Amino acid sequence: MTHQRRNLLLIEDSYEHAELAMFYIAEYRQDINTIHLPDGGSAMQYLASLRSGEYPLPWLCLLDLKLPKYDGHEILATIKNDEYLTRIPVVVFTTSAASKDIQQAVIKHANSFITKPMGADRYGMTIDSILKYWELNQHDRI
Amino acid sequence: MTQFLINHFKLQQRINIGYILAGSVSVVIVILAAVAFSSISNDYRSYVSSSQKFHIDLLLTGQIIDIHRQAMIYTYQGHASAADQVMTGYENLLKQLDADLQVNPPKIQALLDTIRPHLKNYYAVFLQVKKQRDTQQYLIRNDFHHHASTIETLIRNLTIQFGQSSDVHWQFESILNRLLSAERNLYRYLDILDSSYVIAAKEQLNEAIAILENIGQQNHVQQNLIKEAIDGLERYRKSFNEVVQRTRGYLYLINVVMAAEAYEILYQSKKLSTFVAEEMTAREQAISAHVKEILWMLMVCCTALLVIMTLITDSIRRSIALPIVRLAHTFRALTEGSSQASIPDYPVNDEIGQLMHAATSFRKKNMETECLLQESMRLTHALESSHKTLEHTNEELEQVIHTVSHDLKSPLVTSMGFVSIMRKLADQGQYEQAVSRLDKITLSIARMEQLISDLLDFSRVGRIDLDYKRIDMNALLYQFAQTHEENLNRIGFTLRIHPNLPVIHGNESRILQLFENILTNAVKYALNEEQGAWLEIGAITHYDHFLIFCRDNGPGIEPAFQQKIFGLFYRLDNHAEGSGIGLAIVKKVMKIHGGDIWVESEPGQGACFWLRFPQPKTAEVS
Repeated sequence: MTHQRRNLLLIEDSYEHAELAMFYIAEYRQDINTIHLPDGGSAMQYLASLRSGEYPLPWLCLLDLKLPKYDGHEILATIKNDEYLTRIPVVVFTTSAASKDIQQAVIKHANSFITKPMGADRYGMTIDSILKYWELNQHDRI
Repeated sequence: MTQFLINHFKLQQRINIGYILAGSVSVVIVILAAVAFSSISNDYRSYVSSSQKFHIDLLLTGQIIDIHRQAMIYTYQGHASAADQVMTGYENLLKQLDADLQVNPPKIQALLDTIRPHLKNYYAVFLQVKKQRDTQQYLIRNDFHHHASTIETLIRNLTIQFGQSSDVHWQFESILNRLLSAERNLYRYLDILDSSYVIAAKEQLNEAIAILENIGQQNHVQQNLIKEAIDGLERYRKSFNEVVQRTRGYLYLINVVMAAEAYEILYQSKKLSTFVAEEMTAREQAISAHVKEILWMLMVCCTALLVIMTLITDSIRRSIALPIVRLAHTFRALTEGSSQASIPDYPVNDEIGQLMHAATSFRKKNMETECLLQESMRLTHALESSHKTLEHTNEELEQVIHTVSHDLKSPLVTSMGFVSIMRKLADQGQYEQAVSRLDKITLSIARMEQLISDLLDFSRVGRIDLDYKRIDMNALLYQFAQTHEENLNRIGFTLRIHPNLPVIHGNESRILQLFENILTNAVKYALNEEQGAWLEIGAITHYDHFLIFCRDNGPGIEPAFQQKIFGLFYRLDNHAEGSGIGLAIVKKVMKIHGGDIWVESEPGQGACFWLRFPQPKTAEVS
């Protein structure tokens, strides 16, 4: 599992949040290669390029909801409505805790919905937990 | 006819007209029938009187026959009572004839006149017969016996004179015998009326006379007595002849003259009866024709009356039924709730008229109900629309809260995250690294401030703007262009304002804010620095609204984002400045002015924002 470098797709409009996430990912898992896409438009382009099958699918996708151009829900729908892309486990990782957003994401087959924590050290812990969980999961064996 | 009845008579009057009509037609029919029957009964009476005449005529024949029979009885039997009956019968008949003569029509009178002299004649002959018979009877009873006894006495004297012994004696005896025989023959004749007895009697008398004459010639004695005897015999013979003569005379009268008269009378009476019978037949035919005519007329009149009555009663029936049927239709429509149901025209105020009034009230009620229903529907619509507005507002509010919570949380998450990283770096002794992160926190907090200030701006829109007035867009935008001229010239941006802009009703500062935001966006995203960036503002006037367009030659907007750009804190580019509040404010300003905003654009072709303002009401403009 750890022999191969894993790609983690981080779709996040806030550079600060992306920096935080990447800091912790780099801190905990050296083997993870994080691809940061700052808006909906670039995310859609990246997903379209994946569809050719030329590049391996990302091991995990962290998806923010509030994005310029296409929002997180649209991107989630694009991934989960595609027979091939739907294998990517998508963790919605957002500041929103609105039930409407959660409901919509779950209906669109998001694999998890996790609200960004506000506590001092909890951001790093949350990232760690997500990574640990998905490492236990055999999802990538498909 | 029906319509006339409907227009001029009440319901009960119409029913009464029907009854009166039926009653009067019945009465007329009864009168007609009575007239017809009285006419027929007159005919019958005249017929009966004719038949009575016929009866009299029969009586006449019978009476004549009876009289003649009595006359015959009298003649042959000599009963005095029969003669009396003839007399009575004659007198009665005469009286009756006289009576009939006064009553009967001329033709019958003429016949009766013919009969009358015959009857009188008949009676006169009968009187003659009676006289002859009386004479005959007298001769038989007196002369005859007297002569016979005289002769007998004379003969007895002669016998005595001549003596018993002489042969003359036998001669006298034979004379007496012959006389007796003659007498017997006479009676036989009278009884049987056979003339041979007369001849025989005459011969015997002649022989008796001849014997006496012979005696006288032979014996000269007693000549006087013989002569006397001969005379007596002669007288006897004379009487005998007279009797026979009389008898023959009245037999002739009765058998020839009276019979002829009687037959004449019978003949006339037969003629009479034929005439009467003819007259009766004629009268019968006339009567039957008359009766037929009257019955036919009666039938025609009755049929005509009944037909007229049927027509009128049918009209009456329809005049009653028609409005009721129409009314039933109306009520059916009314019960279905129609307020447009046509109420038939009915000018008379009777029971049906009252029903029409009721229908009118019903319709009025329906109309009121309909008005109420419309009012309630209008209210429901208003309620629905206000409910929708409320829902919309609620939704918007939720959206705002949602967005705000997300966007406001974001800097906090950033700050806390970086604090945590700093702590971690500090623990590892990388102080410089840690301190370098401090800027991020500062920026994050500044951004939060910005967000809060924008949010306050946004929430102010429509909440504190109570100052609405007439705005001349020409003046407003001229001033707007003046204000920004210097800055725009500096960056080489052209702002073009079209003439003939409309006058609207609104809040001036908000409208200015709107154009400022649009201008800011246009400047922010300006491209084509070689050709020079520009923004032009113009207007199109429609009959109930104005359209103001703001067209630029910027990068344009993809159709997928053309609606999203008006969302709160929505940004197309996270590298550009600003928090994404500008167009959200623009949209809210349009909304509070009762208008709308949308964008038309193709990527690379610039963008055109359309602002739709409603046409201000005249009161608002003035």
